[in-house]
Amino acid sequence: MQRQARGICMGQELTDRECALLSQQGDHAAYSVLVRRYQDRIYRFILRMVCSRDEALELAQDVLIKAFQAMSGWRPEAEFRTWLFRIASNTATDALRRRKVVEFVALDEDYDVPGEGAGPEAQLAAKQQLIALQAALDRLPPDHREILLLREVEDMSYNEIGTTLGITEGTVKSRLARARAAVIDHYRRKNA
Amino acid sequence: MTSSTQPDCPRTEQLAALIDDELAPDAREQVTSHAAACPLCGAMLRDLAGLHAALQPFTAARVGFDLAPLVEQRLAASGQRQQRGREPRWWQGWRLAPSGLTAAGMLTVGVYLGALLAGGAGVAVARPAAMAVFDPIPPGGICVGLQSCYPQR
Repeated sequence: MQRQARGICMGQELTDRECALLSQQGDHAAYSVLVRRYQDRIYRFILRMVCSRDEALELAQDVLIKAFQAMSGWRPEAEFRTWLFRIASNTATDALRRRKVVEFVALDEDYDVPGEGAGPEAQLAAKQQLIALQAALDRLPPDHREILLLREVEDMSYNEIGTTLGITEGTVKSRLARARAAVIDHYRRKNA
Repeated sequence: MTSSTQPDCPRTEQLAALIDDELAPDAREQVTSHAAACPLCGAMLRDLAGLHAALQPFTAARVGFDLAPLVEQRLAASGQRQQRGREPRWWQGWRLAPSGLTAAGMLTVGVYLGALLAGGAGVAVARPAAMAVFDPIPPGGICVGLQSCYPQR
């Protein structure tokens, strides 16, 4: 599908904007390029929000379908990534609101713990650290957790986070500082 | 926990912004030189950098297969549903026929019975003698129509 989409532009790699513009005209092949480009990022963002692999997979698909259906509302002056993550954020928040209770799910094989060469002790320590971090993340309110994930995992700037979540940069800055301080504090207490 | 304990220490927001490279050059220089001299802010800066490094394994989560065909399939299915919803359905009017006919029938019966009770509406009904016990006007009651009060013999 990616090859087909590239073929449209005579062998050139399509940018998000180009793919989104083609998708607006109903080009499913161009949209598939965007799906492949963002499926993992949307999935892991939702996974860290809802803490359930199956639910995250389902919700990631919902996000990508909603985005295509709402593509007429996307404007070329907006960055596609922030627009897509806004849909993902709303979808995750709705799912949490419906569920009301967020259960902790054990870490699975998705985590990049040190390889065999690191030795079993190092692997165990790394896994325990990730479990503690996930527990600390789970304790954050969703609006703080998503900011932390967008910054630390998705590497978004304050401006991009503000655009994605519809808040000011000042709010991003203060929520991010609170979220980080809370995670560090919780992590320290657990490992004291 | 938005500020350190020293009164002249920068807020955690500033330290975090330094890590995120979101400070203006002069502020950046100021916070960096302060953190280099202040043990509290230096420790906080190291914690923030450590948190960033510790969260990086979270970027490894993958779907593990291609979602594009699934998404395309679901989009095609929803497109077909929408198209079906837009198609004109002239035959759908017949769905209302049974309830419409029933309503019309009940209305007719109601009008007919009403006319019978009124008695003077020009409806002549031959009543069998055996049905006299079901006369709507009780013995000694007030008649509801002229013809009922003064029957023609």
